[in-house]
Formats: sequence, C-alpha cells, structure tokens
Amino acid sequence: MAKNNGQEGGLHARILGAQIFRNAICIFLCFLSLIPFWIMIVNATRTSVDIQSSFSLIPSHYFMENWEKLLYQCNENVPLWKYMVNSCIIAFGSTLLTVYFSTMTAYGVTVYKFKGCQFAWAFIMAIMMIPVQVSSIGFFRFVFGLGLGNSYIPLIIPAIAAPSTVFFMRQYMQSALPLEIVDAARIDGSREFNTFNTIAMPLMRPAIATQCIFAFIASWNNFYTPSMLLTSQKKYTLPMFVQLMRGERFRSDHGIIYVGLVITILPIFIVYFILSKHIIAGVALGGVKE
Amino acid sequence: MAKNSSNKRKTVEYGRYGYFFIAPFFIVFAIFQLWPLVYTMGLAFCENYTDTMFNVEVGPTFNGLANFGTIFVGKDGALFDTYTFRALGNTIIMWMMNFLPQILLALLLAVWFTDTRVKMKAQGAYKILTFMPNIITAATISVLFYKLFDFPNGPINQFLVNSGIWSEPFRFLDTKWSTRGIISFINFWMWYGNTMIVLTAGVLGISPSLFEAARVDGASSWQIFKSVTLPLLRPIMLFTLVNSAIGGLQMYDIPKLLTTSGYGDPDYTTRTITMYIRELAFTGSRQMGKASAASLVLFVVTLFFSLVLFYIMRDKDAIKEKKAIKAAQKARKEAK
Amino acid sequence: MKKKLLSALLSTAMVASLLVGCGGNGGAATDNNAAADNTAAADNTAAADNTAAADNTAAADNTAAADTATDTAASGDKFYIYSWNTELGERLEYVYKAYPEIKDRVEYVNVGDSAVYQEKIDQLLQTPDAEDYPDMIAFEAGYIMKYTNSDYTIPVTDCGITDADLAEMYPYTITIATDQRDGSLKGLSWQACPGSFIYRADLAESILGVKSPEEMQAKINSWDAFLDTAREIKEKSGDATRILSSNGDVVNTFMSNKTQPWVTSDSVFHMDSAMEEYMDVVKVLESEDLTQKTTQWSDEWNAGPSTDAVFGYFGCTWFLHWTIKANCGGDAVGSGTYGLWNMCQGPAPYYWGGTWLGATANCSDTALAGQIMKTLCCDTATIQTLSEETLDYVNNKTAMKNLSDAGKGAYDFLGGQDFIAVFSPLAEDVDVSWMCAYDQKVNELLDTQVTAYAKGDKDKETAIADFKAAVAEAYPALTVE
Repeated sequence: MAKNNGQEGGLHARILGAQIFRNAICIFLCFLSLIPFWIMIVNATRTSVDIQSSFSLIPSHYFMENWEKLLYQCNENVPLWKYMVNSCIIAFGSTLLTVYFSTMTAYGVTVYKFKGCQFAWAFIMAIMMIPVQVSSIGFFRFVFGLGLGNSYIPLIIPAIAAPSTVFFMRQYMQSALPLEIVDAARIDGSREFNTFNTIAMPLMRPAIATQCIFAFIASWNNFYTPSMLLTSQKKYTLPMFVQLMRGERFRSDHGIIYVGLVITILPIFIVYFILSKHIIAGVALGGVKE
Repeated sequence: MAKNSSNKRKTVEYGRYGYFFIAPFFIVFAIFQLWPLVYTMGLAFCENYTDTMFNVEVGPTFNGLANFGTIFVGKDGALFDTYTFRALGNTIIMWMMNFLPQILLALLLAVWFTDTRVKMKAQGAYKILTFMPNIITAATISVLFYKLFDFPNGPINQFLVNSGIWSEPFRFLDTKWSTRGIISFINFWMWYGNTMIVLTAGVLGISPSLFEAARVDGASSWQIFKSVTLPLLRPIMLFTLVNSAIGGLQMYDIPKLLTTSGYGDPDYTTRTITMYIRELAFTGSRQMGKASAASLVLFVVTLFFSLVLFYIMRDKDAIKEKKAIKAAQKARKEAK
Repeated sequence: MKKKLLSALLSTAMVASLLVGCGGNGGAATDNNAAADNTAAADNTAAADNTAAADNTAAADNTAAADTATDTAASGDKFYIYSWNTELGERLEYVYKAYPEIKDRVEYVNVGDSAVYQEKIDQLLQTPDAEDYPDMIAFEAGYIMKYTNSDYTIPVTDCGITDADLAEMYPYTITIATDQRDGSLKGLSWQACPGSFIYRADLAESILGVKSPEEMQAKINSWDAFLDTAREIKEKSGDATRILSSNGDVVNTFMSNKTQPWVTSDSVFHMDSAMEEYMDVVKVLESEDLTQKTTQWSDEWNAGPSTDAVFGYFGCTWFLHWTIKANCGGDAVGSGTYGLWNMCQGPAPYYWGGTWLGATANCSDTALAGQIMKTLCCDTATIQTLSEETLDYVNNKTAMKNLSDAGKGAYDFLGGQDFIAVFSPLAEDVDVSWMCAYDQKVNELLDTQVTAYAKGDKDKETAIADFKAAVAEAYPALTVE
C-alpha cells in the first residue's frame, strides 16, 4: 500500500516535472517570438546614437521625435499614409473578389452535376500548387503589353481565381450546405444566383470569415508581384515602403527605421490579437484536409 | 421509381448553371494565370533581352533550346554547373535547413499539446504567440533582422559582446553559413507555429479509442507515438512537407531584403531561384528569354511536388464510390 | 476648370507678391475662402498679401505667370524629375529661384537608393502613359551611356540648348553624354568630379609626422607607397587608425586607370590588367588588416569620418561635401572632425561619379526641360552662386576661375586648404575613354568576386573566372575573352 502510494507520488512528481519542463520550453519559444519585436519597439523609442552605442530592453522616450523625422523623410513625395491606403485598396479589393468568387466556384462544383464537373474539380486541385512566380515573366510582359503596368488591376482581378480558397470552401460546403436546402429554395421559386447569394453565402459565413482573414493577410503582405508591376512611388504598397527603408535615404538614422517597421507591423498586430482565436482555428481547419 | 427519374431530370436541368458559377474562375484563370504561363513557356524558347550598349530590346525570336543550354550546361560543359542550378541548390539547402527543425519541433509540440496525461493549460496562449510571426509581413521581418544582425552595432552583436559571450562583433551577413542560417531561422521561426497547429489538429483528429486501446495494452508513450500517432499523421505530414517545399521554392522576400546588396550575398550563396529569375529579367540585360527558361525549370520542380500532393489528396470518397459501383456491377454480373 | 484657374492665379499672385517683397496687410479677408482652395495659400498672411497683387508690377507678373499656369494644366499637370537622392532636389532650388513659377509644377522624385535606381528607371520607361512617367532623369556616370545611347532620351538641342551654352563646360562631361550612334548630346551636368585622397591632417601629423599635402602626396604617390604608408599608420597608431574604412574605397582609382573600357564598341568584354592590380591591392589590404573592413556606404563606413579610426577616404568633389563633411560629426571648426581634413592627389589621378540630367523621349514639356538644364548647367551666374553656396565643384570653367580668383576656394572644412586649386587641374584632364554603359553592373559583379578573393574564399584565378562567368551570364550579347 505504502509502496503503491510512493509509486503514485512518483508518477505525480514525474508529471509535474514534465509539466514544468514543457511549459518552460513553450515559454522560451513565446519569448523567441516576441523578442525581435520587443527590440524593434524599444529601439523605435531611442535615438540613433543610443541605438548605435548600446543594447537595451527598456524603452526610452524619443518615439515622437523619431516619428516626426520619419514623416519628414517620407513626405518628400509620398506621405506615409499613402502606402497604407494603397495596401488597403489592394487587400480589400482582392479579398472581396477571392472570397466571393471562390465560394461561387465551390458552389458550382458542389451543387451542380454537369458534364466536366469532375474534371473542373480535378483541375482546380491540380493548379492549386502552381505558384505565381513560375509565370511571372509572362505575366509581366502580358500586363505591360496591355498597358496595365503600374495599375492595381493586375493585382486585384486575378484574385478571382484562387484555387486553394475554392478548395477550402468546397470542403466546408460539403458539411455546411445540405443540398436539400437548395432544392427547397428551387421549389420556392428562387433563382439559382439568388439561392447562392441569399441562402448559400450566409450559411458559409464562418468559412468566409476565416478565408477573408487569410486572403487579406496574404495580399497585405505580398511583396513579389507589386514590386514587379508598380513603377510609381505613389502607388507603392507597404512592403515596398519597407524595401525603401532599407535604401540609402534612411540609412543615416536607425531610430526612424525602427519606427517605420513598427508602423508597418502595427495594423497587422492589432488585427491578429483581436482575431487570433479565429485565425488559429482557421489554420487548424485548413490543415486537416483529409 | 417515377420520383427517382424526375429527380434525375431536375439535376440535369439545373446542371448547366454550374458552368455559370465556375465561369469567372476559369476565365480569370485563363487570362491571368494560364496565358502568362503559356507566354512564359513560349518565351523560354526565344531569344529576348535588352542590349545594354544601345538599350534596345532584342527579340523575342525563336532560338530553340539555346536558353536551356545555358541553364543546364555550365562552363567547360559541366552539366548543372550553372548559376541557375546553384540558385536552385541554395533554395533547397535553405529550405531543408528550416524544414527539418520545423517539422521536428512542431511534432514535439503537437504531441505535448495533445498529451492527456501531462496537460498544458496555457496552450492557447502558446499557440497564439508562436504562430504570430507567420502573419507578419515577411518584408518587415527581414528588414528587422537585417537591422538586428547589423555589424558591428546591431542589437545581436551588442548583446553578444556586452554579455561577454563573444569578444568581438561578428559579420553575420558577410558570411555564407551565418547568412543562410539566419534566412533559414527566419523561415523556421515564421512557420513552425503554423505547422504545429496543423499537426495538433491532426493528432486530435485521431480517434481517442486508438490511444486508449494502446494504453490498455501497456504501450509506453514513445511506443504510442511511434506506432499510433506517427503512422496516422503521415498524410498530414506529407501535406505539410509538400506545402512547405513549394513555399520554400518560392522564397524571395526574406533573402531579397535581408542580404546586403539584395542579390544574395556573399558571392550569390543565398540567391534563391526566384531572386535569380527576377535578377535575370529585370537587371543587366533584362534577359526575359532565359529568365522564362529558368522559370520553366522551377515549374517542373514545383509540378513534381504538386503531383505528389495531388496523389495524396485525391478525392478518396469519389474513388470509393467508383470502386463500390464497379463491385456492384461485378456482383450483378456474377449474379446473372 | 474655373476653380483651378482661380487657385493658379492666386498662387502665382502670392509668389509674385512675395517676390516684390511686400508685407502689405490689407483687409483681404474675403479672399480667404478662395485662397483656402489652394493648399499652399491656406494661411492668412499669404491671403492678406494678395492685396499686393493689386499693384501694377505684381499684376503684370501675374498675367504672365497665370498663362504658364494654364498651359501647365493643359499639358499634363506635373513635370517629373527622377533621381536617387536629395542632391538634385536641392540643386533645383537654384532653378526655382530664377523661375519661381515652375516650382509647383516640378515634382522631384527621390527614389532613395542608388542600388535600385536603374531597375526602377527601366521599369518607369516601360510605362510612357503613366501619370508619373519621368520627364527628366538624372544619370550617374556608371550607366549614363546606356540611356544616352538609346532612344529613351532626346538630344538637348531639342530642348533649346545651343552650342554656345556648352562653351564653359569641361569637355569630358560632354563626351560622356554624347550618343555614340549619331553624336548628339543627350545630357548635361552641373558638376565636375575629379577625385582626390581626402585625409585627416591632424592624424597625418600625429601618426606620420606629415605636415603638408605635398608631403602626404609623396607618401602615397604609388600603390606600393600607399600600402607602406597604410602599414605605417596601422603600426604607429597601435591599431587605432586604419588608412581606409573599406577595402572597396580604392576601386574608383583603378577603374579610372583602365586602358580600355570594360566593353569596347565591338561588344567584346576585356579584363584590364589594372583590375588584377586592384585585386592584389585589395588582397593586401584585407590580409594585412590595413583597413577597417567595412562596406562602402554602410552605417559603419559612414560613421568613419567622425572618429579617429579612419585616416582617409578616396573622394571626389561631391564626396567631400556629401559624405565626409556630412558625417564628420560637426558643422563648424572645432566640432567633430570639421576643419581637420586635407586633400592630395593620391596614387593616381581618377574620376568618380557625377550627375547628368537628361530629358526623356516622352517628356511632356521639352521647353521646361531646356529651361531647367540651361539654368542649372549652363548659366554661369547661377552656377557660380551654386558653387559658392554649396561648395560643389561646378561644370563651368569661368565660374570656378572667378571663385578661385576671389579666394572662395579656401575651405574651412579643409583647414583653409583651397579645394578649387586642387580640383581645377584635375578637372581639365579627366579622361573618360575607359567608361562604358556597362560600368555600374560590371563593377558590382567584380566587387563580389574581389571580396571573395580578398577574404580567402577562392584564389585569384577562380575569382577572375567566376567574374567573367558572371559577366557572360548577365550580358549574353558580349564576347567575354
């Protein structure tokens, strides 16, 4: 009996030990996730000279000075907010298109049985993994040939064809949209597009919300395509502004670069901490594609 | 019976609407993805560049496999000893350097988070924090790390020297393996949280009764992991692998904005294939033809990985259905 | 349109009244609303000044200016000028001083990074319909030929520049910008950029016992002498001071002394023997630890002039002000290292950089382009004021002579040394026959290999072979020897 107790106590101690060890590792990993951003925020509040001379984890109070200097440096041609607005226009535009048309496409292949339906679905799966990079040269020449270089059209319109979103939507639709509902709507005399917009879309709301977040973040963070197509600085997006900050203009002052980085991260930070639960759930859902 | 046939007629009747629903996708795909891809393929077989001397575009004129010749055959006729394959090699090395630790750590965390005996109460917070770098703009992260690893007064060097770990600052971004290491680390750091969440969901998807049964049989944690968790996670891990490989092949933002000149310093050892393609097409002679041919190489490699994924994720229900139908037909025949 | 015209009128009236210098304080409060339409004129005083526009002189100016303004509106609003830093923007102020009415129209775009500038310009030139298609572009010597030898730029004669306007220019500035196909001139420069070795006189004295630029020159008049002096500085200062900040600092000296350009007109690429010497010198600098081993233009490199860690820099006319003075940590004698510098010729005469200005093929207003070029690059009075105020070494022989005669060359930053006297003979003799359209990119490619060789990552033969391979890779049309 006593022996048994001891064993149990040992087991408890082992579990407790494991708990402490595992939590310690996880806390370290969280620390690792945060520390670069913390250094960034701290350095954004210090003067360039301080940043050069010593390492610190305690914020100073020069944020506003750095911020004003940054605004001054940027305002020469294009004010800082312009990059944000540009990024927003592209991100909102492409998110709306991606989500709406992906749901529509998924609806098309799920609800209707038509000739080539199987093939269409197989095709969407097959192209899911083709990255834009492989066709970027042709894309560039095509877009510039149309005279659409330096325009947002080639950054927004192609979002209509987003195979991986279609894939996700279809997975979700199979469980969330009973075909009986569609049939019932037909009996009630609803037209097909009407059924889709008024019945299917609302039922898909959770999946749409998740995909909105991901599509928005992907577009907001996109650097590759905009940096290839946009020629005028007035149309630059935020990641392109980040590239500018690496250039010679900002090289002289470290403080303002850190402030610039903080500014570019801030919106997405806020969005993330508000929506983190949904995002994590969305990632988990997206991964389990079996 | 009558009801059945009327139902069938109805679906056929509505079926054509399917075309309208999928049309926008396919039209836009054809214009903005398929046509550029075909265009790129065509250009790959053309001579097309800008002559620097007089800044005039040459071509595009068909020149057969000449572009591929310079891509596959290096100086002295050595196969694959070219800038293209070196860039591809760099990409694959840096991807592997990030993927291996990433999948191992993610797997470990996934097992920890789903362990029913050693419960981790704060795992929600851990997930949120470790996933966070994944959604931050890669461009910003690379410029941030560029500043952090600055020589000699970047925060990392300051910290290492101040705390006495190193006697003098180190040139992280002028050294081949440290630069590759930093790029891989950033990728690892941005992605392990994502992989961990996916794998955790995968483990949770395994029927609890399997674990119960194993435990009742007296299996140790390691045995359970090895013979229950791992085999059942295999499809998801393969999915992660392929996803990560295809993502890794496109690596651009981080090395582009992290390396000193933006061309993969030092000595092009961190130049990825996409950086190389962009450099060919938009700097120097703006060699669109050769850049297209290099894109095609990337396409083939990517295609290989996609096919693997396509195979893994093929619609199993549909296959089962087909098999069932066949079996039923066979049974009917036999019955006859 | 009416509103636009009104605001244009108001703004020009404002400028005119400012010119007249009238501080009139009339009761023009009713104009306030109208003036508010115009962002520049939003403040009260300016609006109040409008009464001044009622005078005859101002009113006369007004109508003329208003005409230009309406023309502007008709011919596409803005006039875009592109460059890679703030320098040209500041120089344009001299043009605005002469022609205030163009100030609002000219949009100066600072791309912000010389490393990506060319790529950016190439992109922009592909979109002639874009709102901000460049009307004028600034070029650096390293790639100007790529544009002047092309149809992307137009001859300056099309902008109304005559041969008489070019009389005062240093000949090499014209040679570089001439289209090799038809001999037409495509760009003008306001500066001349011979180079020198700029060093810390105080350190020279304390470490080497050198008291004058002539003595210093004697110590570095060849590369062997230079390296010996470098060793001496390292040794005598006890490793506290190095002769240069980065190994790459010597590059321009070697580039200028190539016997032929990288690429000759028959599209053959040549590796000049001067380049091997360059590699050797860099190898010695690196292996004997004779420099600070920074990277040119890096933060650390820029920090050099404010400390005692760096003895000197190879720099040209603009470099003196833009780089050393700007980073010396002071702005008057006694603060930072201000006033502690001297110049001498260095191991070999050389030339570095310089900015040219050209109009593009789709330039929306060639007359304006001509006006800007004429004022900034040809007008002796303007350019002389520019030089006097900014200490830029300008591309105008008379202006430089006038300044030198007036004793304006003595520069307190250089401890009173006459920089014009140093640069003038050098500017006359600049030889640019070694330049070609490929320079910037080829130099970049070379730099990568030289660094690898100097660090010991590869031997010299491999580095040269890799360099040639990289050139062949970047320029398929060239025959690489």
